[in-house]
Amino acid sequence: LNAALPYAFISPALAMILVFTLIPLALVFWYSVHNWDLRKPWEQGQFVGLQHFLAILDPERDELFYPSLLKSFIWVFGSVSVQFICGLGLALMLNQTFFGRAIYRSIVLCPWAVSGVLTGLIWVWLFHETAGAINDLLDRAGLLHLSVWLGLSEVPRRVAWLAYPETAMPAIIVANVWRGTAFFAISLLAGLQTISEDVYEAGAIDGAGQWQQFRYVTLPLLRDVIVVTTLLRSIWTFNFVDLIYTMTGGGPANSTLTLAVYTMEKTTVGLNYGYASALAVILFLILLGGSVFYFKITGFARGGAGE
Amino acid sequence: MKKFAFLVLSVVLTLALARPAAAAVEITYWDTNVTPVRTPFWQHMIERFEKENADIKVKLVGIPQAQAHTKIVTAIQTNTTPDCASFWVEWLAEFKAMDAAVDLKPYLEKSHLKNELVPAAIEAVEYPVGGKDGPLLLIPHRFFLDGIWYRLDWYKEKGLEPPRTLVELEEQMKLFTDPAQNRYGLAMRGGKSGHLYLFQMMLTYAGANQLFDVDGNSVVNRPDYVKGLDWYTSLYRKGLTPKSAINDAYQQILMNFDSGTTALLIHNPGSSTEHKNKLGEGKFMSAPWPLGPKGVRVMRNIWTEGVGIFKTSKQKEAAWKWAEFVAGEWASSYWNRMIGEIPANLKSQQHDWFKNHQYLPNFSKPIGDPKTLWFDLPTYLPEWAEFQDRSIIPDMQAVMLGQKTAKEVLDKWTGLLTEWNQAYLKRTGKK
Repeated sequence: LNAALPYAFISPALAMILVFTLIPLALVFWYSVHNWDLRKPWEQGQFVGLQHFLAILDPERDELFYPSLLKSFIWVFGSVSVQFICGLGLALMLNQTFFGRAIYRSIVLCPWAVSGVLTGLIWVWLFHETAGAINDLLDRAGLLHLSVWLGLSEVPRRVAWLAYPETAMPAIIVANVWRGTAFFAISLLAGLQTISEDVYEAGAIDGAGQWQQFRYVTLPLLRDVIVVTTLLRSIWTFNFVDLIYTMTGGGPANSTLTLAVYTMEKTTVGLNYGYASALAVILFLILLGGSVFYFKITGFARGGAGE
Repeated sequence: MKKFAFLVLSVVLTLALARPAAAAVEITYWDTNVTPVRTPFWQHMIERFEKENADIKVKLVGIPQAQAHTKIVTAIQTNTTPDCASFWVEWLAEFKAMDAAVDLKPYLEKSHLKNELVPAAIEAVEYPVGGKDGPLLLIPHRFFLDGIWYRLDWYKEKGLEPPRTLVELEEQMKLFTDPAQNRYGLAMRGGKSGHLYLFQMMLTYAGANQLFDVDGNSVVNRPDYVKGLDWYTSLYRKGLTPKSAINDAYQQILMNFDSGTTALLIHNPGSSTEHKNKLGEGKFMSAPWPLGPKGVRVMRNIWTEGVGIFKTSKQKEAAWKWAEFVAGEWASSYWNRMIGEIPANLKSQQHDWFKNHQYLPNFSKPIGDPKTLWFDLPTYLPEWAEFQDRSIIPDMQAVMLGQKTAKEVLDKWTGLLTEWNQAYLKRTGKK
C-alpha cells in the first residue's frame, strides 16, 4: 500500500486547519510583536519585540489588565461552578423515569439554543429597573426591602441590577448560568446513561444508600465527563464576550470588563491590533497553562482514554 | 418552427428589456444608523434621485448605529467598502489616518452646492482632519446641537417655565423626583456617548471653553472644571435621575423620557419623532441649552453627518452625484423636515416648514448668541476614540458612583491628553 495515501486522505482536513486555525494563530503572534495601530499608520509594521507585553504587565501603563484578569476569574468560576451544580442536579432528575421525560429533556436544552446576544437582551429587560420582570416579582412578593438589605439604597425600591458595580457581575453570571446549565445537564445526562445498572445493583447489595451510591458509584464513573465538560465550559466562558457586551458593555465603571471583553474592545474600539494581539496571546497562554494544570491535577487521560 | 420563433422572440425581448438596466451604474450606499423611521425616507430620496439620474442606481444597505464603526473599519481593512456611506464627523480623523476616504473639496468647488452649505457645518467637517487646509471627507446634509426636551404637560401643571440656568435645572429636577412614583428629574446619560453631555455641562458650569493652553498642554483639571464635573455627577448621587442612568445610552434615555419616567431629557432635535409617537403632540417641548452660573453656555461645536465616498469606489462620479443630491436643497429639506433636524443647506433653511417649526428654533438659538461659547473635543488625536469609550465613560461612572473623585479623574485625563497632544503637535510639525 502506498504510504502517502493516508496523508492524502487527511490533507483536506489539514489544509482547513492550516488556513482557518494555524495561520490566523501565527498572525496573532506576529502582530503581538509589531506596532499595528490603525489610527497610527506612521508606525504601522514596526517590530517592537516584547514591548506590548511589558506595557500590559505594568500596572502603571495598563490599569485595566490586572483588574480585568481578576474579573475573568470571578466570571469563569462563578458561572461554571453554579452551572455545573445546577446541571448535575438536572441531569440526575432527568435520569429518573417519569411521565413526559422526553419533553422535559427538550425543554431543558432550550436555553442552550439561544444565542449569547439574545440571552443578553432577554436578561437586560428582566433586570431592568422600571420595566423588568424581576423587580416586578419582588414588588408583588413584597420583597423590595432586598434593596435595603443589599445596601443599595436607604429606602425599599426597585433595583437597577446592572447599574451597580456590586450587582452587575452577579447579574451577568445569573444570565450565563441560565444559558449554560443546559449544556451540563445534557452532557452529564449522556454520561449517566453510560453507567450500567449492574454497578448500582452491586452497590445496593453491598448496602450502599442513595448518597453512597452517588458518591462512590456515580461521581467516579462520571469523572471523565465532568473533567471535559468543566474544562470546555471554562475555556468558552473565559472567551465569551457577546453576553457581557450586550448586557453591560464592560460597565458600570469597568466592573464587568473581563480580559476577553477588554481584548475585543482594544480591537474594535481601540483599533490597536498589535496591542490586542499581545492581549490575545496572554489569554491563550493562560488558557493553555490552565488546561494542562487542570488535566494534571485531575489525572485525566492518563491511561490513554482519549478526548 | 413556431417554438423556435417564440424562443427568438423571447430572447430578443429579454435583451431589449435588460439593456437599460445593464447600462446603469449601481452604487452601494450604507446608511450607518438604520432605523425603521429612517429607512422609508432614504427609499423615497433614492426613488427621486434615480428618476433624476436614470443612469445611476443606488443600493441602500442599513447598518445599525452601534455596529457602524466596527463594520466600516473592518470593511476598510479588508478592502470591502461600499462606494459611499453616511459618515459621522467623529470618524473622519481615523478615515484620514487610514487614507480611506476621498477628498471632496475639488468636487464641491465645481458644484452648485459650493455656496449653499452652512459654513459652520463645513468647519465641523474640516476640524478633525486639519482645519481649513484639511480635506473635506463628507458633504453635510444635516446637523444638530444639543438642547433640552421637557414634559410640557408636567411643567404646565406645576406652572413652571423650562430651565434657563443650571441652577433652575437642578431645582426643577428636585421638584419632579419622586422615587415612589418612579419619577425622576433628568434622563441622564452615563453610558455610551454620555461624555458629550458631561463636557458641555462641566464647561457650562465653569463658564469657560478652554481644553488646552497655548503650549498645547491640557487644562481639563482646572479647579472650576473639577467643580463642574462634581456638580454634574452629583445629580446622579443625589438621586435626581433613575439609578440605571449609569449605563443608559441613547435608547434608554429616550425610553426614560418617553415612558414618563423623567421630566427632562438632554438630547438633540433628532428624537422629536420618537417623542411625538410615544408621548403625543403637546406633551413635550424643547428649550435651548441652559446658561451656567457665569451667565454663559458652553457648547460642543455642531455635529454633522453626510455622505462620504470611499477611495475603493470605482464609481466616484456617480457616488458624488448621490452625495450632492442628498445635501441639495430638496433632499436636505425633505430629510430634515421628516426627521426633525436642522438642514445643512442654506436654501432648505428658507423653507416655511423650517422657519415655522415649533421645536427646532430652540435648538439653533445658541448659534449667533453672544452668551454661547464653543469648544471642540480633541477628536483629531488618534487615541481619542478609545479614550472616550474606555477611560472617560468608566471614569465618569466611577465619579457618579462616588468611587473616584472629580479631581482624581480630571488629573488623570490631563496627563494623558497632554502627552498625546504634544506627540500630535510634534508629529504634525505644529511645534
